[in-house]
Parts: sequence; C-alpha cells; structure tokens
Amino acid sequence: MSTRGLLEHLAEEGLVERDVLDEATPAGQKAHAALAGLTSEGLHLQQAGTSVSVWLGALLMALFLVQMDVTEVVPLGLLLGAAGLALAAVLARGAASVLELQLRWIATIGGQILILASLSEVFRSDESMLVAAIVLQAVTLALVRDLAIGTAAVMVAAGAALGLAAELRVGPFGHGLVALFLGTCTCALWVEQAQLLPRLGRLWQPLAYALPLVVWAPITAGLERRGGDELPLFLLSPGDIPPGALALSAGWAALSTWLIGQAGRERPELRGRSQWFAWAVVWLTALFGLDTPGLGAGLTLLLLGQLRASASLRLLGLVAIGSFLFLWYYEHGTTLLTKSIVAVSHGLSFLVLAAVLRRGADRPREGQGRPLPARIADLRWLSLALALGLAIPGYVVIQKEQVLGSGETVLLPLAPVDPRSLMQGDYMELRYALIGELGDVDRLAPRGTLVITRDGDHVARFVRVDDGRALAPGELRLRYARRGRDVSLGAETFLFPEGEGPTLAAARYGELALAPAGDSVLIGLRDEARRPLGTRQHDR
Amino acid sequence: MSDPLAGPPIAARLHALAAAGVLGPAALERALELTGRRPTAASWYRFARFQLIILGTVLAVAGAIFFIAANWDVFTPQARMGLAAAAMASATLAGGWIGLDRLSGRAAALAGGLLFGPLMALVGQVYQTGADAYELFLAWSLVLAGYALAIRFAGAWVTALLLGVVTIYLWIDQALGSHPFETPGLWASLAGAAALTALGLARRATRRDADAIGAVALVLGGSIGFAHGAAAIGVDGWPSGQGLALLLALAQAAGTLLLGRRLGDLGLERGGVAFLFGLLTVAEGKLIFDVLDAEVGGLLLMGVLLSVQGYVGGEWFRARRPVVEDAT
Repeated sequence: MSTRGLLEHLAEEGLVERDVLDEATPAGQKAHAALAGLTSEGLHLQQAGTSVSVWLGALLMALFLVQMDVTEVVPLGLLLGAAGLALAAVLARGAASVLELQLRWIATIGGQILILASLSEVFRSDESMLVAAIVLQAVTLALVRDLAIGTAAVMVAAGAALGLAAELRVGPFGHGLVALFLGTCTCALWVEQAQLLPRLGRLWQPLAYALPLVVWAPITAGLERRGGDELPLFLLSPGDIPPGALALSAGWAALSTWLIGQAGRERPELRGRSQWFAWAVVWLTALFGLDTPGLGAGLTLLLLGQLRASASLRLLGLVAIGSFLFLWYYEHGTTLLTKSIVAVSHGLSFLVLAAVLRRGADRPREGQGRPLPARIADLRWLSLALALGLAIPGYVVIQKEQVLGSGETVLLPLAPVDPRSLMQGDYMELRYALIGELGDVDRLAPRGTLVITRDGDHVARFVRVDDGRALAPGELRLRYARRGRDVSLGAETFLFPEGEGPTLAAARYGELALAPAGDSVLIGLRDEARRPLGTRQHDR
Repeated sequence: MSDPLAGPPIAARLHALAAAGVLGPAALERALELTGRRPTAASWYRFARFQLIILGTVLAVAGAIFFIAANWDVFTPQARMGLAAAAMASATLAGGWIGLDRLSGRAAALAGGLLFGPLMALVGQVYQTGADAYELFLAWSLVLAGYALAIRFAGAWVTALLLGVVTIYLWIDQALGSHPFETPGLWASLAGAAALTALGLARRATRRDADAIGAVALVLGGSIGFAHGAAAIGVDGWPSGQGLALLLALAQAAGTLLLGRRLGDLGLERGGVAFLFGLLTVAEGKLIFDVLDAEVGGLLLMGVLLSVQGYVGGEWFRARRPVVEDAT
C-alpha cells in the first residue's frame, strides 16, 4: 500500500479530508510539504548527505577558525557562529541537493563550535558551558528544519544534561533519577503519540527518535568514575539507602506497567489474564533485582519497541540489557555471589514464566512435537558435542591431579598485583623472581626446562637451563615457555575467592607442586614466613 | 519528478503527516492499525515467549558465570566442577528432548554449549591454569562449533565465531608474547582478518537471504583489517609486515566493493567505499600533519579535503541507487 492509498482509505472512512490528496488544495500542499524530505529520494539524499567525512570536515574547519583566535574576539565569534546557524536554517527550507544537505551539516556544526568556543571565553565553569550547550541545541532545533540535524541536537542536549548532572555530583541515585525522567519522557512521547504529535508538531520526531538512545547510554556507559570503581548510573553502591534502589527499580517497573496497560487499551483481547501475567513478570523482575534498575530500563525499552512495533527500539532494549550485564560484572559495589543469585533467579523465573505462558495461553499449539526418532537423532548429535565438552575438562583434571599427587613442593619468590579476569573472577598476577636470574631471554629455546634446587624451606633457587645432563641429587626440573621477551612458568596468575584480596596482599611465595618431568600446578600463596594464605584448594 | 505520496506509509511519514496536522489523532491511530503498527494479541504472545526464553537463558548463563567468578569456597572444588558439568549436561539433554525444532529446545541446548565456558573457567580456577587463558577460549569456541553443528542455530555459530576471535588475540598475547600490531602477532591478526573477510564475502555471494554469520564475519574482518591498514599508513619507518597489512586492507576494500557491484548489493558497495575513504583520510592526515607538518593551516586543508570527500561519496551514493518507488 502506498501513502496515497492509505490516505484514500482514511478519506473513505471519513478520518481525513479528501483534499489532502490534491496538491492544488491547501491541505494537499500541507501534506506534500510534510513529506518533502521523506520521499524515497529525500531519504536517499539524507543518507548521501550525512557522512562522518562531512562532520569531521566541519569540525576541523571550525577548529581552524578557533585556532586563528577568531573566537577570542567574542562578538565576532558569536556573529560568525550565528551566521552559520542562520545559513543552515535557510538551507533547510525547501528541497535540497547532496551539496546543500552537507552544507547544512557544515554550517550547523561549524556555527555551534564557534558559538561555544566564544562563550568559553566568557563562562569559566563547566556547568555554565553545559547549560549553554543545552540552550544552543534548543535554538538549533527551533531554527534548522532538518530531521537528522534535529535528532542529533536532541541527543547532544540530553547528553549535556547528563553531563551537567555529573558536574553537579548528584551521585548514582541522582543519575538514576535523571535517566528515569528521560525514560518517562520517551514512553510518554511514544505512548501518547497520537495526542502529542499535533501539539508538538515537528519537534515530536527528533525528540521521540533521539531520547531512547539517550536513555540507553547511561545504562551502558558511565559518565564519570569519581566515586571509585562504582558505575555512576543505575548501579547503586552499598552506601546507598535501600529506598533509593527500590524507588528506581519501582520507577522502571511502573513505566513497564503503564506500557502493558496501554497494550490492553489498544488491544482489549489482551486484558485480563494476559495482562496480569505481564505485570507479574515486570514486578518479579523489580523484586528480584532491587539494585539492578538497568535491567528494568532495558525491559522497558523492549516493551516500548513491541508496543509501537519498532524493531529498532526492541534491538536497543536487547543491546541495553546485554551491555548492562557486561558492565555489571566489572562493578565492585555488589558481590559476584549476590549478582549470581539475582541473575539466576531472573533467568529461571523467566524460563518458568515462558513455560506457564505456553501452557496457559489460549493459542493453537505448535503441532504435536517432533517424532521420537527425530528427537533421538537430535540427542545423538548433541551427545557427541556434550561428550567433547566433558572430555576436555576431564583430561585437564586427570593431568593436573597426577601432578598434584606425585609432585614435590616448591616455593617461588614473587611480587603480585590484582585485576579481574574475563570469566574467572578476581586474580593476582604473579611475577617470579627466578625469571630475573635467567639472563638473556632471547637465547632461550622457545620451550624447555630449567633446573632448580630447594633450600630447607623448599624455596627454589635457579641452577641452570636444562641441557640434557643428568640431574644432581636435590635438583628438579621446571618447565618454561618463552613468550616474546617474557618467560612463563605455567601459572602467572592466582585466582582467589572474592574478598580474599587483602589477605593475599601479604603473599611473597607461590607454592607449586612439581612433577619429575617439570610440569607444575600452582597450589597456593605463602607469606614472608612461608605460612599458607587464604583458602586452600588442594590438601597435600 | 517524484510524488511524495507514492512511497510506502513508513512510520516516519505517518509521524510527519500527523505533526503537520494532516492526520488527526483518530486518523493516525487508524493509519497505524492499517499499516500493521498495532501489534495483535498473537504478536504479543510470540514476543513474550521469545523474549522470556532468550532473556531467561542469557540471564541464567550470566548468573552461572558470576557464580563461578565469585570463586565461592563453601563447596569443594570437586563439587563445584560436578555441579557445572551436571548443569551443562542437563541443559544439553533437555534441549535434545524438547526438540531442536523448537525455540525452547534450541535455547536449552545452546545454554549447554555456553555452560562449557564456565566449566572450563572453573577447572582453570581450581588448577590455576591462568586467567583468561587462550586455551579456555579455544576449547570453548571448538565445543560451541560442535553444538552449532548439532543445533543448526545461527546464534551458536556467531557466538563461536566471536569466541574464536577472542582466542586469536589472547593467543597472540599469551602464547606468542607479541602484540597484534607487531610481528609475529601481526601475522596472526592479519590471517584472522583475511579469513573472516573471505568467510563473510563467500557467504554473501552464495546466500541472498539475511545471513547473520556472514554479516558478523564481514564486520569483524573489516574492522580488524581497517585498523591494520590505518596503522600501516600512520606508523613511521614502515616496520616489518606493515606493507602486507596495507595490501590486505586495500584488498578487503576492493573485494567488498567489487562483490557488491557484481551482486548489485549497495550495502556491500557502500561498505567498500567507506573502507577506502577511511584509509584515504588516514593517508591525508599523515601527509598533512606528519610529512608536511602543517599545524593550524593543516586543520583547514584537512577539513576541506574531508568535506570534498564527503561530497564525492555522497554524489556517488546518490547516483548508484535507483529510486523507483516514487516515480510518477
């Protein structure tokens, strides 16, 4: 169906005047003007005229003027900037070529930079500059009648508002409230679009298209990290009062509740059991994750995307949830064990609810299910993959247990530091003092064994690089691998339970079980007096 | 001449008509209904079930990873490994039993494959085989490829591909003791970029439908190749391997562009042109700011060059795409 066909249909139903189809009438001219930049050719031109090259080019040319000290004469800088914005406003009236579209961007970006650089000569505080940036975006939105430029202006303005909140040090809860406010605006714009579009006019589109992106940003990226390693938005540090966490989670759940209620109003057949079911999902999510409003925010975007049949909004919701989970892992305000309980309880409750939905929904079944032989065939292939998946760790376990069972205890002096690994939690990087005694590493073979001896306390001392000669009494072999300029002894990190970091800071020795062939397993760490530190994984 | 009313009633057009007052609230609601932008009850049901299963699986696996990362010492190492192996086996077998023709079955089986990573991480914790060890990711990507073969699910292949790329860079760091931008790590990174691009282009050439695996391979290969090409242009003294890095980047751009032309795939063509323009921009920057050492004047020159580039690219794009839907 074409837009014309749709308007004809609406005209037949008496919902629009038939005049809108006739370009000769005022109503028709209004319709044609509204769609002027949104024809297939217009959208295509927008794509052609919007490129990173143009943005960067505009930025560099404006920076050239700033470097030429044009903006130090404030009235001149403001005049040139205003002229740029005025040029963009003039170019944005009527149809455009690729060149005109690009000039709109160049004039807007250049004008804004000149104005901001001039204002920076007057305003000295970051807060004032951020307010100026917000006002400037509002002026741009009002003057330049270009949807893409307007959308970019809203994004910059909202980003500046988040930056202003950071400058004012509103804290994690304050940032959460700002994001919740932006989320409420986003939902209101889309839910009440039929009422708000005529009232907001051409402002509605930039606002509705840009704000979901701005809500997504604080879920996935922190603006600043002044408070240590906590993420400033959505994640509440242990010092925050529980009502704050509750309020944010409840706020996002309330937004989702509104969206589900709206779905029931638009589709009466969804009312009743289905609606109560959806509300239960939303509030269970809030209940299980009081300090994870970021998850609630992602779900709200997802629901909004479904309500307005927008694949982009749904994708944004999914990306927000995925990014939130990734950043949550590296956040240190909550223990990994608590996060694990929250994530698993969410996951299992979702899976149970999916099963309940399937059983309870009044819909046709997906067929009678796969016949047994087909299921057995599936199971056969999956079993092969599973066998491979269990054989690999099984082999590693057997190999390491052999070393642990037969190995000699050796203590290697070390100097530690402490980060967090991709999947395995907190760990210490170990640097063995023995490596420093090897001399010119480049002369070592890529792989081989070192010969060491032990003193009465089992502390190792380097003797020589193994050259095949028989070992003297008391000598042991230790495998190494050369990696560029570094030498690895097989265990350069020590993974430890969350919270044991302070105890292990006293570590001075790595305790290894060393098998006759030189294979080793790192058993634990010991302090200056050779006493074992922290949790022991293996009793030998 | 183009008729603004001839195109399909996409959401942005309906919004523009409503913003201009052409469509009142009732007309907009009806227009959205007629154009399928008011989800039906059946659509809500599919959405809820799909998202609950996918998010439930992702959150459960994430929870398992968090649990293992916590390195909780209440259970013995053997009990923890046993629990992880049991979870992996249960999810895999449950997936097979539910049936791989169903989303819930595929999601359960995929969760089984994903749980191999936490199991290996746990083994690494207990025996201290090293944090972020490349062997863990190599084994995980191989096992997941096995699951992908059994499940026949693009998501599993994409995950295996991503894990494979992580493996390459961990291997360069941990096994070679090198860096991706210096030899010998550079050779491995270039080989990875070439293989990913070849996979992406080959899949694009043989499949006309949406192909997530090919798209991910192409984006990853292109990003890595571009980074190497840009570094080769920007680095001083032309160290070992940088010539090949630049050649590969140019070949990737040219290959993408030519295949796009042959298939009439404008997206592919545009990607190739953007790749070439990106390399050209780096070369211009090197020439202006490094070789000619133009400081403030260089900003103006570079700005003009980029704007001209943007214009040439824009006109090329405009000319390449036929506009048929609005023709009157």
